Amino acid sequence: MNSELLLQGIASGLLIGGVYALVAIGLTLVYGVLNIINFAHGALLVIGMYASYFLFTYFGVDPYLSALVIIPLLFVIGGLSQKIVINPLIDAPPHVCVFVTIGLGYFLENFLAFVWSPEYKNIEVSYVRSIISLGEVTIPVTRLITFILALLLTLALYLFLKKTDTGKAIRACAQEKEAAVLMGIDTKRIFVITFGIGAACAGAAGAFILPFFYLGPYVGHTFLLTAFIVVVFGSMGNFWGAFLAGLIIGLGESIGEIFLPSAMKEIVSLSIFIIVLFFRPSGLMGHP
Amino acid sequence: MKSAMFRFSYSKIMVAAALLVLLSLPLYTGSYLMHVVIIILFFGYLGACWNIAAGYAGQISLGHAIFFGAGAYTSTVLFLKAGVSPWIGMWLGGVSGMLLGLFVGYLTFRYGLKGHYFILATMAFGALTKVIALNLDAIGAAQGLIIPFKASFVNFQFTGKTPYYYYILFMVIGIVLVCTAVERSRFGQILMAIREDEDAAESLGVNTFMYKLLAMVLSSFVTGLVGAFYSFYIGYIHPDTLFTPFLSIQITLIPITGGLGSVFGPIVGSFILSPISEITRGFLGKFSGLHLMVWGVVIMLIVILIPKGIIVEIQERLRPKPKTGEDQSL
Amino acid sequence: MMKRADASLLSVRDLTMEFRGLKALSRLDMNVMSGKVNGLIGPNGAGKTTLFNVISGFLKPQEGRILFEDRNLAGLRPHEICRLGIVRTFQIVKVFPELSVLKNVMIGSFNRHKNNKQSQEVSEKVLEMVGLAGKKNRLASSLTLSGRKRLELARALATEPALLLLDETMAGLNPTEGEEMLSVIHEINRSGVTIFMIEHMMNIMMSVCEHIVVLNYGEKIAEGNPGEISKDRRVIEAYLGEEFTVA
Repeated sequence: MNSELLLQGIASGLLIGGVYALVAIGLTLVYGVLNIINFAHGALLVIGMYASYFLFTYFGVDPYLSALVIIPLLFVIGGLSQKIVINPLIDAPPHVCVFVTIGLGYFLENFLAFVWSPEYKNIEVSYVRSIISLGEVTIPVTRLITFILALLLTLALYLFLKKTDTGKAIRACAQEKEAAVLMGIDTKRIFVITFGIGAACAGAAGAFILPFFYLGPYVGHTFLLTAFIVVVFGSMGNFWGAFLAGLIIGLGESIGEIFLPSAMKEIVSLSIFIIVLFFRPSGLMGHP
Repeated sequence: MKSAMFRFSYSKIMVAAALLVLLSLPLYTGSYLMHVVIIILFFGYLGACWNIAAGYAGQISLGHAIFFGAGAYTSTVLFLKAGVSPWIGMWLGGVSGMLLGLFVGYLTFRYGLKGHYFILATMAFGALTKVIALNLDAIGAAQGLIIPFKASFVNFQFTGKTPYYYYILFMVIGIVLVCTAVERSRFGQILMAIREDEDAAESLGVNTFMYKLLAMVLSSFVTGLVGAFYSFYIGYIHPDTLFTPFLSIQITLIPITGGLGSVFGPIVGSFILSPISEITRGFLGKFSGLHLMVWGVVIMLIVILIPKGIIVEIQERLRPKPKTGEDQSL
Repeated sequence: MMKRADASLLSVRDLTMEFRGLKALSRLDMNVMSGKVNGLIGPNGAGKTTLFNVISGFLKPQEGRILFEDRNLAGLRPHEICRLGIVRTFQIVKVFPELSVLKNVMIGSFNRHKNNKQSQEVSEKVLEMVGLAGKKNRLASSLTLSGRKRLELARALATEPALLLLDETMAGLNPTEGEEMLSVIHEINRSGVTIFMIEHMMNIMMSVCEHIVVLNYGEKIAEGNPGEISKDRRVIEAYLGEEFTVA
């Protein structure tokens, strides 16, 4: 077995794992607080990608910089979606929320297909071919920046949750909604904010991957499935669990790609998913 | 009681009238309209199958398409490779759907997956099946399979639409009868109890694992049964159409629109939803993505406005109110 | 017929139930006396509902045995335990909301009667007993809390149990409803069903129960008749500061 190949695989895996982590953290946060699985999460990621694409193509804004715009934009979109469509349904039978987010996802991603056509596109930043060599391992600069920014954003979110009043309120809602209400926390407002944050995470991830990932309205599907896997694997609702699981899944996929034909790449993460669902549904951080 | 009796025979008359219309449809419709009704009946059938597991037993599966796909592929492969007539192949398709249902059901129920975990597990199985199917050369992999057309009764290939129409109509009548039987039987009552509260049912002596599994097995069998029809009617099958979450979701929307856990709900739901789907695709399909945008809005509206489905929502509004003098303390 | 006075219907021996290292029940030894109204009391978090969950099969204990008619119940599934003759109600009432009152009860009777007509007759009789006969065609969701508790009781009775575990049946009922519920429970006991009940209201327990087990922090601290319990030093200490009325 080629050690160079393996090291390369590990590096690539970790780098993309950072993105998976960011996406999953947004999803797991929403699950932890609102107790719903947001099937529109992938669509929100793609909106971020398209917005970034728009800014790059028409204004020459670097995708990484565009995150400064994308994050608030997606926060607003997410918050509005939650307020208009989901909040009224918090007490409805469980399948209702599942289908509402599914419908929302269809709406959002096909909105993009409608406005932009379903063709695949990609962009080329000036530094797309720059690489960094660490010993035997070659790392594209774009992937490295993406990874670092994903990490920074995760850290920023963590600090937000830990230090700010809103962040603490969010954590209170995640742990015990009834107690939070009794403590005077406006749970509806927290739901809107949390959903917005989740959307912002997805959107930011979308902007971050634009430099090296192709763009298309339905790209969100693959990321959504991977995000589900990471969330369950990392324990639903658990912040650092999602982070850790994101890295592990990224690694697993990348190493699996070395041994399996590329069409079967998804089998690795799907198998992990199924195994976790059956043998340890409480996930990495949970209790069996 | 007079009003209740009136309602009772009113709905029976409606059903009889609808049946008459449907039975005589080929006499006064052209090929295109018959195709539309065939698709409506087809989805109504699939929705009714899903309803057995989800509407009656409360197991919301988002991966039901795989049972259908298994049935379609089984009958098609058997025909293409061994010349097995689809009249036999359809039953084997049902069996293969059932085996998959047994597998999925056994694993999910054995490990006690419920609620969100169950939904995700069914989706995971769906995704896994699709990946495997796309890579299995023996069944055509990413190219799919084509059934070359050659008119023959034995091979379920007809030049006109009428025979296909009557086949699917009788399948629908069949599934309606099956659901009615389930609803009235002790089996059905127990399934509904499990749906309402699984722990309570278990504490009352119900072997919930076994009943849920039986519901899943029955549901997946009848779902697989119609796979052959689809293959031989359309003539072309592909993992991306058959094993996709989009199809699974579409199947679930039918009973949700028409009435979860009701016999005619899926049929009514399909008559409402399938035309909407066809019309939006027909008129808006040329604008890429627009019809699916509308579809997304439709889904949201249905689930927000009539979460239990039209028939059940109507039934609830027509429910008798408490009479005066009745004990209000209990 | 030889009357076995003071026989134990169900015995718990050395029972331990652990959650992630926390012992919810610790080396518990106790008896449920046949034919009587037995009580289970203890401060919040003492492990009372956990004990019910273990006895009824919803939890599997790490150690110990639950002896009922010469069988060890530990590890059996709830539906098997029900078939053997033990049924329970839940702290938060669990009726089948979208089924009618009668159908709710029939689910319970299905255990013992293969014939639907018989099931229905038995169910209607049970509904009479708890006073819900007039509501048999109503949806369970339309009942008040008191009604739903009666329904849960009726449903459990329809399984024709030897032992009925009642988890805080009185919670949420006003004094009138509570009295009515108690008289129903008495009638059930008189018809031959052994009762084992959890309640918070000490005065009720002391006056209603003939045999009481007291738990604290997952351990048994006393067991006996109300008179013995009310004088038990450990019980008095456990409840120091709380309302405590001697029967």
